[in-house]
Amino acid sequence: MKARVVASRVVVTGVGIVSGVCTGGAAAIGPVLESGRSAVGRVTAFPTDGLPSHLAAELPPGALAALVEPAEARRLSRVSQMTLAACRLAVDDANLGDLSDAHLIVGTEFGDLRSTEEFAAGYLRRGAGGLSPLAFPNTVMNTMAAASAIALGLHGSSVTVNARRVAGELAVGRGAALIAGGRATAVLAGGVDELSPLMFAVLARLAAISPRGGGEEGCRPFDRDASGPVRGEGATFLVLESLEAAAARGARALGEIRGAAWRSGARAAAIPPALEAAGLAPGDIGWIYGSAAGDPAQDAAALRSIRRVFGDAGPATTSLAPVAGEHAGLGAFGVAAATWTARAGRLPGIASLRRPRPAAREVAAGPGVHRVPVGPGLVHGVCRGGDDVALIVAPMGDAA
Amino acid sequence: MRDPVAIVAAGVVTPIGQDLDAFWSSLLTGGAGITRIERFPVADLGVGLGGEIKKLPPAPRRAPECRASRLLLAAASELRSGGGALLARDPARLAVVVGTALGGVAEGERALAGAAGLRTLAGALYDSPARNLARGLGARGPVLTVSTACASGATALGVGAELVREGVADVVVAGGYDVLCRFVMKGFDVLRALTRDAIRPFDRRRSGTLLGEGAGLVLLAREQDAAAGPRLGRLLGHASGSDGSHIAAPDPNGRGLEYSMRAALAEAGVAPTAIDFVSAHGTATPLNDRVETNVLKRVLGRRAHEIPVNSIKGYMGHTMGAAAALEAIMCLLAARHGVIPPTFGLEDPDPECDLDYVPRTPRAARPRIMLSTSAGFGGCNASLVLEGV
Repeated sequence: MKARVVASRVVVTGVGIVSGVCTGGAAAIGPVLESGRSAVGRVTAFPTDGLPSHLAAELPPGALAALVEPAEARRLSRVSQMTLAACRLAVDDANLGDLSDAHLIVGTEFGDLRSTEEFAAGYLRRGAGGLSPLAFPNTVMNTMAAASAIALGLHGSSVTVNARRVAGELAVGRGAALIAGGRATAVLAGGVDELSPLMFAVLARLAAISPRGGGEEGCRPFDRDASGPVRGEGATFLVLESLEAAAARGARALGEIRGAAWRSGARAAAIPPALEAAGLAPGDIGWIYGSAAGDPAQDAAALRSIRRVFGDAGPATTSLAPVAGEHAGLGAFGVAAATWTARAGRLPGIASLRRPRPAAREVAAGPGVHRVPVGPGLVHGVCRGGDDVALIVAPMGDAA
Repeated sequence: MRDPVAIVAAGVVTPIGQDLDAFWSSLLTGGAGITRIERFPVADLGVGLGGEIKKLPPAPRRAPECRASRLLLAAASELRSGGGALLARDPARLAVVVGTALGGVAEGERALAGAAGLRTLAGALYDSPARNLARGLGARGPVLTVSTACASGATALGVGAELVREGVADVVVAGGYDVLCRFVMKGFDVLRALTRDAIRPFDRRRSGTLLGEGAGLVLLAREQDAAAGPRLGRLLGHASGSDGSHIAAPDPNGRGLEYSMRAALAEAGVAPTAIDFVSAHGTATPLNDRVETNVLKRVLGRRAHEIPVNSIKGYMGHTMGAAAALEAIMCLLAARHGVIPPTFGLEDPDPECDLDYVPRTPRAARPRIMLSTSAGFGGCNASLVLEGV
């Protein structure tokens, strides 16, 4: 397997998080992960009567009001507002003034599904007279990226990547590749999804979310009582820069993406090539932000992928799915959290873990915050039978 | 300057031809792909014309019902001639990158209208057509769906080339697709972007575009892996740029388009003076064609008026996510055959669009280095620099 040739080191200089559990920049991460808070609760934005599922991690009402201008709030769809808000928080966090040459990569599973649904409903139920010319451009998959590029005055590429479960990790990985390959010096990369009544109903009726198999509803990664994932919503974006560019402007670096790899297929294994790109061995990895979200088969696939590299007693492995729900922003949230863990040596455990599955007992980090080695760790995104994305995140100056 | 990536083979499904030969023949003879849409009701639409594919090639056994997937699979079948050995070499190292503006919205529309079930809707929400293509090809490498609206096909070729260069995959099937459905026709209808006339790129009387459907795919590989076999050409450079201006209209100054052209040329290590032929986005909207003309003049400099430029949207409509891939393939065929297809629909050149837009008849030429430009909603722009053989 050929290693990627790293031309530039990739550093994280800013974070913007808009989620059910917190909103803010890098400084917001530590307190919320130390607190053990979770945004998972009964859905309030739309009725779930008649559906088997009722839980999700919603953005609090009014969360976006302080983050977007009133004119933007009138003009942009909600998911575009989330994207713009998180991008803006990240740019402010990085103190990045000039965005004219910056690039933007938006990962999403569902895109602006609400606008698509509303536009279709407009002509299916109300006829041509019910259509707004403003609504249609929002139905194109790249609308969140476009709205943010326009508002931020960004003139580099703005690309949307659409993938199941790993869109956020993949967007960050592609952003890192752009910088490592010398194609860009600054990239805003992350993910976004919103809860929509239609999507929630479809996933609930298809038993794609908790509760499946008659279990109790809830997000329980690695637990014998796991009954499926719980959806969330929000956006997390990172400012990635080449080390040279960040140093030249005196930027603070929150951490480094030492290696990134992406593989697909039934036996995909992205962790080994990511370690190789980082110049690290499995024993150098002190902790893992995994993608387990409470789907037993999916979690087992993620665990197999980790055990193949680290053995049965691998590094402490956690998941943020019980904190902010499954959505494309969560993968980027994981990378942001990893920069904090790499520096602080603190790993938030899985608060909902009560009865670990035997295969996970050795590695799954239970409730509470765990002390882990300061140093490099892994962010791992998996879609069973599909993509496997691995990102090695290290503190600056780490020499492991 | 980066390593060029070999373009080994191509496959197309379009309203004017369902293989490369038929597509090329229609581009030279003016085969009409614009017809009245028959597959769904259009009586209530302001415009009922489009580049509709009337009959798809027979579907392979167990092929998905989804039209977008069928378009991709039909285009992919042609990749085997020329690219068969590379396609079969190592499934784990074969990746798929496709671009689309609207993905599975046609299936979503059927489900929302009650004509299909929840599973159809769930499939439509995701990147299903790309997954179905990968399954049909037996590809087990990365599968990615990208969107830069109507520039998506070019972005997919660019991202595909990056995956080859980065060693993520050895061989990449890259391209774009989109299908006609009531959803997209309604959308362009309310934007009043569709013409009631013909598509007339760069013409004084141009009054908007028409939509089409199709798929275009290419097979990308490293130079050394493609060295032994046939090839269509090379992708020398690509870049995307954002206008940062308006969600549904191009920046009047064409900043993103210019950024993408200059960055793609820089990546290719090609001077603007070395360009032999430009495939323009050329949608025939009043603003696009004027902006594009001005940007081409700025980028190409003193040779701008000497370089032939065409738009092939008049033949089959704007095929959205497929358009840039089909136009890149047209460039490679032009180099191979030594002929540049004319700008179909251009009869009375607009004085404001005063470049050599190859009106009316094919032009004998030997283009080698070519620039293909694309633009889409949200101010997305993408440019490809291609080398023909």
